[in-house]
Amino acid sequence: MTERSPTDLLPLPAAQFHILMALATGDKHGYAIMQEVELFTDGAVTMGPGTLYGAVKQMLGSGLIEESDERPDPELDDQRRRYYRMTNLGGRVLDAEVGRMEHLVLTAKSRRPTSLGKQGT
Amino acid sequence: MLSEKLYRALLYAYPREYRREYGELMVQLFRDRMRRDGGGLGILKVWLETIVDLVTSALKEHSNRGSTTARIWAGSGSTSAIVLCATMLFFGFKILRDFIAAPLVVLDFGGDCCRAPLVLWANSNVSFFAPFILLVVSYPLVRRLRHDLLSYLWLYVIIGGIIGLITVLPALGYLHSMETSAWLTMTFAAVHLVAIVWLARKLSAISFRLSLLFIGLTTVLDTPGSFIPPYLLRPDAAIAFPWPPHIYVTLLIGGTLLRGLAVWTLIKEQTVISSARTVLLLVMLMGLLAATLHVFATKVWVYLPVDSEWTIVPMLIVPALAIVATYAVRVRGPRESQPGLELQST
Repeated sequence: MTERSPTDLLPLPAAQFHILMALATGDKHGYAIMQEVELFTDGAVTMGPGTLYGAVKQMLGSGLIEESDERPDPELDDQRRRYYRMTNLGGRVLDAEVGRMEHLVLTAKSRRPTSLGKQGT
Repeated sequence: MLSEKLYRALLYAYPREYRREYGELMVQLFRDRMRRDGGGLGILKVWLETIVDLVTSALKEHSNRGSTTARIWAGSGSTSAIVLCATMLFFGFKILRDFIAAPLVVLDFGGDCCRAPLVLWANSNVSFFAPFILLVVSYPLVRRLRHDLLSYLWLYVIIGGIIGLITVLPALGYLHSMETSAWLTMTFAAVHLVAIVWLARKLSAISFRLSLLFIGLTTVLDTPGSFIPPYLLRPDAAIAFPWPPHIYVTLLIGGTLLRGLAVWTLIKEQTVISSARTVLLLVMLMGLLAATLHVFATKVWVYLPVDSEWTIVPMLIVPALAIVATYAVRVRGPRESQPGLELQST
């Protein structure tokens, strides 16, 4: 079976991008993902249950993430929670998406210098 | 916890498979969020965000399952969804209110000659009453066959009909005020027209846009005449009308023609699936046939009494044919969807 190219999955929907970023630092369950997204967006993005699990479903289907059996501490954790981890493909897609965004930002800066901090005359 | 129970109930907005797979996890996430942010007025913020999340994500899930309507809505934002809902609600409102409840007004204001239920039905506008029966009877079937535009319109028309019934209550004698009902009807018609024009502007499919405009205009034309058919069709009804009867007749004929045009443009545009197009075509033909028979029987052919078989038979035939047509569609089964209805991206 041929593996999918990361570029096939670009551009990533915002919710999937946020989830991949949250999982980049380790396996997490739904609530932890939500908290992490809030953290790195300075509270600007709060993922609701529908948005989060809708994206999780899509990402499981496309192989960007997978369910994880490892639990940080079974004694302290609710067994009903499901943990997710980023797959190899997910990591490459995240890198590709970040690269795409960087390119977009550079292009935007070159086209609109005045609106990006360089005051014109 | 009440909020949790309510949220759990709201999860029925999602497709069943999705709910089974992720329902408990979503409830758990909602519970966590409530525990963290739900104190004091925070509960309002959490609920507000949750409702928005629920509507958008449920539409998306239905869309992923192949629902044309949900796909349109999910892709076009909540405004279009609301307008489409409102439009169909008022459409149903008109149907049930004017053509089922209006005959009851005759019962309230008329003489003793027309109290039999069948006669009351026959006194109503058969051409629209029959489609309403079709809508109600066929809804479960259409819903099962296809998750597309029509299955949703079916539902909203029915819900709108129930609202229509409520607004006619004043005229039914509860408040002894025909005037109140008339004002309610006019208000709903105005809102309906605004909603329908708004939606039509968003649509890129020209024929569908036209059909919606026709439906909107039909409603406006029908409004002044909506109280009149029972009286016009009853020579013995001693009711004083503000306008001469021929004006009402003209309005009703104009409305009927526009309604026919609306259905025809839908069919021509192929914005609806083939099987549904067939049903619409049959409804239109049956409605025209029934209306013709009805008018001839009661107005042209020597003013037959209202309990004449000429007025009752069309009323019986049309729903029967409509039901047969619906089940004929079932036998043939659904065809490939042709989602020609698209909204402009901006």
